[in-house]
Amino acid sequence: MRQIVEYSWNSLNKAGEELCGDSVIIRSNPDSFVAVLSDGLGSGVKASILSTLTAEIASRMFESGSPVEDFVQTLAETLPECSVRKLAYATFAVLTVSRGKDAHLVEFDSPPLILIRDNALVDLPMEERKASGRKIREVRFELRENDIMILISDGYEHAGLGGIYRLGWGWKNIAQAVQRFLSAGIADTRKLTQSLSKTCMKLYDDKPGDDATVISMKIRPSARATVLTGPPANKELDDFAVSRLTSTEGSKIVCGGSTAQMVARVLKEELLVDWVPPGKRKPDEPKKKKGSPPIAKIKGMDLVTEGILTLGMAAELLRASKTIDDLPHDKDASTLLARLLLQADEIYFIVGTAINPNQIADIIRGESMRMVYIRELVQILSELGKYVEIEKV
Amino acid sequence: MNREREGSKDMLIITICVGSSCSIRGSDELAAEIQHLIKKEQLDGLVDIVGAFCMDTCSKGVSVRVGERAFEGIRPENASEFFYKEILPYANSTLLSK
Ligand code: FES
Repeated sequence: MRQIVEYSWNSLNKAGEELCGDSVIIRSNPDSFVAVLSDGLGSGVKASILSTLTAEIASRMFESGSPVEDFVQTLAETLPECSVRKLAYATFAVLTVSRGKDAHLVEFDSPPLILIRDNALVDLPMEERKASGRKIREVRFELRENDIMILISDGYEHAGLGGIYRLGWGWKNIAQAVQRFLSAGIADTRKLTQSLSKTCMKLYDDKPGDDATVISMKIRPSARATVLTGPPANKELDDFAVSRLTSTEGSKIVCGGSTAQMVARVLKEELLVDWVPPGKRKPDEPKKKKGSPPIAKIKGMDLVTEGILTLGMAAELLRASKTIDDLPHDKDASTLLARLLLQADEIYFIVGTAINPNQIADIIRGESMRMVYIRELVQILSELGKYVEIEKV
Repeated sequence: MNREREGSKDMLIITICVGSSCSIRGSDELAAEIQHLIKKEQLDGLVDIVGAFCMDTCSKGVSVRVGERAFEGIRPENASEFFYKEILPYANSTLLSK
């Protein structure tokens, strides 16, 4: 099973500053992951420019596998010098992970990575060395499922300074807080990030004395979704198409009226459309919007919808949403479809290429409208960093 | 042939399309009318209504199947005419024959 890095991050701006001096860049592809956290000298515009440039250069160079020396050299040549302090300076921590497993961490003056495995803090054997005149810390290590990694900027370490913590929250205490959150059952990175930044904000009494950034990462098996849409052009392939769906792990989705009938027939299960005649409805049943495509149930399937319209509406929703939180809370077919797709890291479309004889436009185009929407979905989902495959039958 | 639900053998199933086009043109209203008529003619328990996906016959009305016979373009305001012409006689003949 493939592993991926699930992540979430949040920055708190120094009170009164509009720009954050911390920069985060994360590039997440199915097989490679790179996260950079850079903190620019000072705060405001100058800090922001320094850290943005550093993060941008780091993410590109590390992603393409350039040596650390080249990166530090490039930084020195690129960063604008501060006219007051005669310094071009931004800290950085760069973490790259390939195939959800092999990690490479490079840090320069930044708080060390917090790695938690089986709820114990792992001490990474960091190597200190000079790269193009700068003292960096570096380590390569192997990640396991359920490993939790946290990168913070020093704004976190200083939280609560002079108040609850005389010397600030501090790395050790933060690592402990992470462990506490984990044992309290906080299982996903989004909630972990939320809990950490809330605590940080509280320690600062709602007025952060410095930019404070956290990136939470977790190694987990990649989640799959498989969508079967459209009956095969050749009827003899019906069984095969359905078996492609039933044999996969993860969520199973059927999109299309005749496709749903085909699946029900092959599986010898009932296709039940989710609709109760008005007279039999319970008074508390939520009202369905008129004209929104219906949903059905087939035993063993996670979602069964109609085709073209639902696919088109789901694409529209996805274009407007980057994460599940951006989706409306509706329970209609297209929102449910969009949600299942966003929850997955790998999405497989099994597309039947039968042409619908009732759709004149399909016949003229020589391709179904379905395919047009699928292509759009594939594009949007790939841009969101998901692994997407289409198989035509 | 499109069978969403077979029901018990001695039941007549009215399948009403609840796809987008039909639902805008009054699937719910038509269903409510037919249900009312089923009651009125004391066919409760003998005739049942279920929903279906788009039947690929989207038109200016609702697509409906009575048993295996398909109709399209049925408007809610014509429910009663449709019921007495296509449902009641059919229900009587098929149910009585069993
Ligand atoms: S929506 Fe009813 S036939 Fe198409």
